[in-house]
This record gives sequence, structure tokens and C-alpha cells, in this order.
Amino acid sequence: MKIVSKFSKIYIGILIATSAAFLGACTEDTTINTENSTPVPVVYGTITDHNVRQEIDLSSSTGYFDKEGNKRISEATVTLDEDSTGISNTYTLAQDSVGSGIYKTQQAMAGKPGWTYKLTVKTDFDQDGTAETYQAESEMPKRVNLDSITITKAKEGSYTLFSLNINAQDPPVEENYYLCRYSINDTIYNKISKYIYFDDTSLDGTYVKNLSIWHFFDKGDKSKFSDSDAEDMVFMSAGDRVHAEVSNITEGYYHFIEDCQGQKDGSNPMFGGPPANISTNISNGARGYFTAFSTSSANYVAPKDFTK
Amino acid sequence: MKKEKVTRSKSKTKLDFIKFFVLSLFILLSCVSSSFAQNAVANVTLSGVVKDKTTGEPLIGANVYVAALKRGSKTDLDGKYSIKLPMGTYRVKVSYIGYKSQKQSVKVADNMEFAFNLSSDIELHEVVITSRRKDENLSKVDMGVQKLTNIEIQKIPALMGEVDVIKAIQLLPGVQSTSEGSSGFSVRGGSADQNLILLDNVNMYNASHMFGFFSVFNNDAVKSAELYKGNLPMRFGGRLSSLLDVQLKDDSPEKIKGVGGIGLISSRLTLEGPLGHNTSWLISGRRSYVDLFLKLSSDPDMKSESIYFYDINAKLSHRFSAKDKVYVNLYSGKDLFKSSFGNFSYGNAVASTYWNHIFSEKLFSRLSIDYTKYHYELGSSMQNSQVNWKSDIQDVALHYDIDHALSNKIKLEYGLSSTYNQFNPALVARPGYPDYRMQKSYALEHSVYLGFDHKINDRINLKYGLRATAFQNMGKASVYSYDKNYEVKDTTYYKSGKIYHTYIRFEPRFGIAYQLDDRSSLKANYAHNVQFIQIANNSDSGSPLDLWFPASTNIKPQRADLYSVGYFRNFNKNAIEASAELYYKGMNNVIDFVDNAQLLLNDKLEGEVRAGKGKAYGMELMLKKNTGKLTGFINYTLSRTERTIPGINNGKTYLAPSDKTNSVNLMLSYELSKKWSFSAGWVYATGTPITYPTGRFEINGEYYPIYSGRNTSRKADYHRLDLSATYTPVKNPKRWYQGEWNFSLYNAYWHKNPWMVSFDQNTSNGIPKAQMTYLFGAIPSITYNFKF
Repeated sequence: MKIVSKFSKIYIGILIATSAAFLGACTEDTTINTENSTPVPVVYGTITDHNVRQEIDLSSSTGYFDKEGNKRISEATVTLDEDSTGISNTYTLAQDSVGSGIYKTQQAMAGKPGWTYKLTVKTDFDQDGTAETYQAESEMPKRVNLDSITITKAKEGSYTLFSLNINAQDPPVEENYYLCRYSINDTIYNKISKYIYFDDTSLDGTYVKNLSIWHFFDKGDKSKFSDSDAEDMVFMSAGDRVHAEVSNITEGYYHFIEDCQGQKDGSNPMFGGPPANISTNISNGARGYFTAFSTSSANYVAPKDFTK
Repeated sequence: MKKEKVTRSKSKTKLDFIKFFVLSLFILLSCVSSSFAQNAVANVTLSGVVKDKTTGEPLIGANVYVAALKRGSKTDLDGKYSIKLPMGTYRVKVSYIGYKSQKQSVKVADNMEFAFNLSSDIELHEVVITSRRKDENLSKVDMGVQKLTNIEIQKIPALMGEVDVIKAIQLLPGVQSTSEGSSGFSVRGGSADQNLILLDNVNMYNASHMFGFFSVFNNDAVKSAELYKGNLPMRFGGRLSSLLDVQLKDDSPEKIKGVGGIGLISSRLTLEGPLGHNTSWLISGRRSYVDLFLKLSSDPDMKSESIYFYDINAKLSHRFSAKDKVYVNLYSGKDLFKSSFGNFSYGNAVASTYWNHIFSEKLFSRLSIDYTKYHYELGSSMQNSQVNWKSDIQDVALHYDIDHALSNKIKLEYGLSSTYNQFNPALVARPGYPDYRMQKSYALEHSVYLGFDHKINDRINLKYGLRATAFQNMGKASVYSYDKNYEVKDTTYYKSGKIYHTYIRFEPRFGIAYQLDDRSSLKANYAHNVQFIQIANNSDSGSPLDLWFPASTNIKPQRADLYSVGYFRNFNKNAIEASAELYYKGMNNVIDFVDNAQLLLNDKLEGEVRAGKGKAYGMELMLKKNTGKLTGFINYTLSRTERTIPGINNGKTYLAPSDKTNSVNLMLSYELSKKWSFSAGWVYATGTPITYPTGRFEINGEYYPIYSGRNTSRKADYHRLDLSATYTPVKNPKRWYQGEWNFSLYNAYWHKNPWMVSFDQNTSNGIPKAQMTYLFGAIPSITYNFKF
């Protein structure tokens, strides 16, 4: 379980609250000067077992403080190969609207656990007249079945928290890495910073019963947080319908999510390591990630009453 | 999980260790016997104890000097001195910092004992930082050594009025704090885990309270703190950068006395007294009490929260005979943070006992056994996610040290030590699930040493010696071996107690002092240091989640070669001391961690470690005024420290996190009257290196940083002014105690020193912006201190 980051957050909270109260600590906007590194292509895509038009996003990196949004890559050839012991298929992906940088398969297709997916992007990014090739490959891990989820409501100190709990069998022996994406009342939280991720350290091979993987704060407590903190948090209320989708993901993608969440806002001098580049599996100096995973989902409505 | 090839192999111990030890012992014993022989010759010995006149406390490091012979001796750990001299009548001068010097005529007709009792010189409040004899800074071979006494530390304005040894140490030249408010410090470009921190000779693995804002040392119980910036005394080793030797008060007062204080953060009380004629004791406690105010809150949730730390020191000594004294020391300290979400605690537990024995006036020994433990515990009490995580490191060590004066010109120190380390990286317990325990690891560290202190003539003093250490990894263990890509390729199992790997390392050290005249000297030192255990922590300020891990088949011991030269000069009858030191330190097998390293709960931690070279060089200038109404010091350090480690920063050289090109520390105290004294401290340092993003990429509307090199930028420069005033009312003869008020202001001009630079996206357009967090505004505090 990702207890380190979870604890770090709690204790950084305590530390900062203590400091702020007694010592006059403060955070304010500042200006720093950084050089701009040369732009590189950014490739991001996840192939799932949903029967949909699978998509890949292509864009360009830019200077950190650039006032413009990152440019899309709209002139690329994108192909996806799937392969499993002798059977292989190739799909070509194309933009629906030119300039969007979102490349989709022509038809809906579902990825299959155990199959290997290989992405090839060809584009003349450096505009020297010759296209460069960027590639990545991922084997879709086997499906882990999410039996059910529950939401329990509890009072922790002066806060009301909704715990998202899962029931599932962790496969024995192998190290498993999990991703949970969710939506609350049809609002889909698809940003990586909102993803829940955990591994099976200390849970290996067990039947995980009503184990909390996240705590959401009650909307009523939103005012207890600063505006900028609240902006980055997800709140919910009794009666909200939660849809959670759990996936058994590759170790590489797990670390990518972990790196993204750890590096996004810079590093904390006490609990974080030095700033470092987020890992990638895209070849040829590009950034981003390409992976494949299957999903298993369940729903639950947040209760009004506190659970004992 | 990848299927790993498993092999079982016999361990290859490089050397039969019993032979190694027997040989070393033999060498030691032959030294001892040969020196006994030398002792039998003509001269007689004047020896005895130097004590505080009022308290009877033995004074360590006092200087006993026979001017006619230009011979002297320094009192040892028990306050004892010993001088060999021809029979005759001599005028003996005894001096010690903070005490009135004493001159006494002594007729020496035979081997004899003579005790000196010095009265304390409180009115003088003499020095801020000083060497032990007024001109000892010139003749002593040791370089890069600084001593602070309890009284000196007391004068330095402190955060929240919490006077602190480590914060005082951070003001010395060549010493940098690792980050604002931290108890971590970097000595001459080393990292924080390269400092050996001793409390009464026992290792303290983590010396911080409240995430480093305060240290574990309660200054009321501290007698002195001495920092060796790389040239460690021969009996110490195992760390690359420094030794911080904190000694608690020696408890031999004739009646019960106490000292204490009431501050904003904590209150403290230290009591010491006699128990019969031969036994004395000290007990000291300190506790913070923020949480006691929380209990007064009307909010029931606030009431359930706890944030506190405490320290307890206890010391008992008993003199069995004129030649034998036994000490028992205990320390326990803890920090606890508890809320309805969970709890977090950490602390040290230390126990030691030692026996000082005098074989003869020339031969002192100390046998000690000690135990130290650092532990932390995290617990979540939240619904459906109850979990408890514990981690610790424990040592048991045995030392036997001998101080031996062969003649007036040659002094020997030799001894041996053996340490058993147990590393317990993590035990995670979760109700309803099996416990998860990371593999413990075990190691033994055996050392022998021999050092010479050699006075060649009135001008030249030499000091040289050698330490030999064998570090052994011991089963039970499953040891991974890694391929070029740091992937596990093999696992080897060793049964319990099996020595499966041994490193033998030698640490030669050499120093020379050449006294140019009465006022100046030149010195040069070389030291080779080796370190066998280190912390897996890559944060700048060092969190309490310290995870120590040993050298092993995969991790080589770290090594450092320190070269230093210095010019020392005293002015105005030793009232002003000036020094300039240059140093160069080359380091090998220094470690760092790969990008995005997983350090905790990772049984393949060694796969995250990269080793390479480091170097640090610099110049340290110091000027101090020791006497008069105005005392203080100013020092300046120019330095650079860098690392070149394959696998880090693409193998390119990068600045170490504590690199500060320029740093200035100014500390002044002014004694206005008997009632009022004032102190001011000003600190300036170049901003520490930091890695800023040079690019960004976007996924689903969020921006993520891209970096092009490690530590290529710097934070804004750091500076801060601290002030304090002490008011000591005239003692009311009817009162049994003497009080004093201390008022202090930390960061007086409210400079916003950046502690953290973080990033956020603008609410309006989503474009990233930088934010700076500073920890301290201007913080006033008031403390009441008393003694009786």
C-alpha cells in the first residue's frame, strides 16, 4: 500500500499547520528564472479492454512557464500493433479533427489481457525533412476482478470522511500494482493527480476485504481548507453515486503515476527526494507513457449515516 | 514477481578474524609492557585532579602547566592530569575556560598527587568559543576542532528561546545547516549522516526533535560540545565528515544543586547531587507542552491531539577506589504527533556504563559497554485503513580505550571496540492481514587503533596513528545480486549468525603543528576516514524516517581523504584568536539515489543506490575575541562541494545539496552591566543549489515538469539576524535560587528565507507558477531560567 505518501501528506499537513500557527510560516507566489529546454514530443495513451476507439495523445513539451498551452502534434503517422503467440493485428490511428493531436483507432476495439501492444509514432518533430520514430510497448496484465466497493462514512477528528473500500482477491506470489480511477455522480476524475494507486505490499495473495484505498472529505468541510488546497481536492456528499474502476497495471505505469503525482508540484524538502524527471517508456527522447490494462468496476452510493 | 535464480554459497570471510584480533591485542599489550619499563626510570610524577571549587565537579581538558620546564598536561576524562618532571619545587599554573586561573607552588620530592580546585569566573562570562588553554590553539596539533561550553551556547540567541547545541554548532566555520530549522548539518561538504554524534560517548542516531527545529540535547545538562571537522581522535571512526562529542555534566557536587527554565516551547529541570561520599547522580528532564494547551481547547477533537517531545537524562557515578570509577548513563527521548487520523512518533534510547581505571599515573583506561536505539512508528487509525509501521536500528558496543603517557614527549592512545548492529527496516501490521516484515540485517564492526601524540621539541608537535576496522555482514539474510541494469539476478541465502562478507579498512591519520613564535603557528593534517553504514534518505532537510543500511556485497564502504593546512595567530595576549584553514576532501564510494528512488518499504533498496566520487574544498577564516565586555566571533567560509556519480545526473558532476559558496557567521555578546547582557547573531549564506524545471509536458490538462540537470540553480541567499537580551536581577539573599530572564527575537528583520519552492497551476489560465514557502517570520520569545 502506498502508506508512505498517504502518511507524508498527513504529517506535512500537521507540520505545516504547526509551523504556520507558531512560527509565522507562509507560502507566497514568487518568480524564478529557468532556462527553457529544447522541446520534445510527448506521447500518452492507455489501451484498455473497453470496446472503444482507443486513443493516443501527441503534443510537444514547452518551457516550464510558457504562457501558451502546449502545442499539439498534428502531422504524425500512428500505428498500433497487437500481438499474441502468432496472431497479430495492426491498427492505424488518425485524428478526428486535424490539429487536436488526439489520434484514434478507426473502429472500436478492446484490448486483451496477455496480449502485447506496440505503438509506433512517426513524425518530423525537428522539421529536418525526415520523420523520426517514437515507440513503446506494453503487455496488458491479467485482469483482477473487483468484487464490490463500499463507501463508509466516518468522523475523524473534526472532519467527516468517506472511505472508498474495495473487496477483491489479490493474486498470490506475483507483485501486483493497482490503479483506481473513479467518477462521482458522472463527474469523471481523469487527471493523473486524482488517480488512486496502490500495490500489494503487506497484502500479497490475501482476500482484500473492505480495505480503504482512499478517503474523500465531505463537501461540508471544504471551507476548512485554503482555497488553493481545496481546488486540488475531491469532495463528496452523502447520496453521491461513486463508480470505481480498478485495474491491474504494469509496474512501469505504476511508477509513472507515482512520479507524476510526486513531481507535479515540485519536491518537499522534508519528505520528497530531489526533483527528477518522470519516468517514460517512449523511445528516442520523447516523454509520456504508453500502457495497456484491463479494468473491473463497481458502484456504490455514499451513505448518510456514520459507520461504526 | 520475477523468478529469481537461487544459489546457496559458502561465505568467504577475507581473514580469519580471531587471528586479526589476537595479533592486534598482542601489539597493544607489547606497547603497554614496554611503556611500563620506561616508566621505571628516574623522573617523578606529579598527578592529581582538577575540580570546580564549589561543585567538586572534575574539569575535563583543564590545563596544568609548569612554566619553568615548559611542560604541561591536560586533564583527562576524569579531570586527572599527570606530569613527569625532575624533583624540585615548581610553580604550577592551572587554567580552564570559565574559571579563574590558579598558580601554586608545589614541592615535588617523590611521585605525588596534588589536587587543584578552581573557582568559577562567572562575572567574566569570558569567551564565546575558545580553546582550552589560552594559547593551546597554537600548540595543539588538532585542526578543524572547536569546543563550545554550556555557557557559551547559552549566549547564542535561539529559536523560541530553546538554546541548542546543534544550532550553535551550525554557526562554526565549515559547518552548514542542511536546511532552515533543521538539526542536520553538513561539515566540509559532507552529508548529514556522515557526522558521528555522541552523547557521553554513545552514538545518537537521530539528534532531532520536532522535525529538527530542536535537538535532543538539553543544554542545561550539557557540559560541553566539541566538533571535529574530519580529523577525528583515533578512538573514533566510522563516519566520513565529523564527530560531535557532547559531554554531559559530571556529577560530583557536594550538595544538591539544580538548574532549569520555563520557556514558550518547553520547560526543563536538571538536578545533581551526592549520594554518600563516593556516589553522585544527575537527572535531567525536558518536555514541550504545546499539547497541554490543546487540552484546554473547547473543541473535543483538539483535545485528543498531541504534539510533544521529551528528554530524560540520568547519570550515576560511583568511585569504588581512588583508581576505579564506574558510570551509568541513560537517555530516553521521544517525539509524538497524534491526531484522530493517526500517530507518528520517533526517538532514541541510550544506555551505557563505563569503568575508568587508573593503572598508574601514566596509564588510564576505560572499559565501556553501550546500547543505542533509534526507532520510529507510524500508525493510521482511520476507518478501514488501520495500519501500524515500525522501524528501528539498534547497536550494542564494547570499547576498551587506554590513555598512556610514555614520557613527557610521547603520549599514546590505543584500544579496541566491537559493535553489533541490527537494522530493522520495517514491520507493517494491519489488522486482519498477515504482518509484513522487511528482512532485518545484521553487522559487526571491530576496530583497533593506536595513536601517538609526539612533542618533538618546543616548536614541533606531531600526532599520528592508525585505525583498522573489520566490518562484517552477518546472517540471517537473503542477499540479492544485481546485474548492470540494477535488476536482481540472484538471491543467496545465509543462515542466522553466518558471517557472509567482510571489509577490512585502514584509517591512517597524521598531523603536525609548527609553532612559529609565541603568537603564531602553522599546522597540517591528513585524515583518512571510512564509513560503513549510511542513511537511505534523499530529502534535503532529513525527515525522521531515517533508514540506516550497511555496506554489503553490493555497497562498498565510503571513504574520504581530508587534507588541511592552517595558520593560527593570537593577538593581544591571546585575547584575540585568528585562524585561516584550507581543506581539500576527496571522497570515494559516496552514495546517492537514482531518480524517483523508492527508499522505504523496498527490499531491493540497494538497487536504488549509486556510488561515485565527491570532492569538497574550501577556506575557513575565523576571528574571535575572548575577553572583555564585548566578546564574540566572526567567521567566513568559502567552499565548494560536488559529486560525480554514474547514474545520477547522466554521470555529470553536480553540486551537493549543502553547497554554499560563501557563508558568514557573526556572533557578538556585550556585557552592559551585572544585570544586563545582550547578544546578536547574524548569519549569511549563498542560497543552496536547487533543481528547477526547464520544460513541461501536458496530460489531460495537467502540467508536469521536465528537468535538464540536477542542482543547476540556486535558492535566494539566506540571511537572518537574531537578538537576545538577558536580565539577571540582583540575587535576593532570602531566596534560595537565582533567576534570570531571557528575551530573544529570531529572524529580527523578518527575512523570508525560502525553505521550499513549489509549483501550482494558475486558477485562471492553468499556466504553472512558482511559490515559495518560508518557515519563520520574526519570532519573539521569553524564557525564565533559574539555578540553585
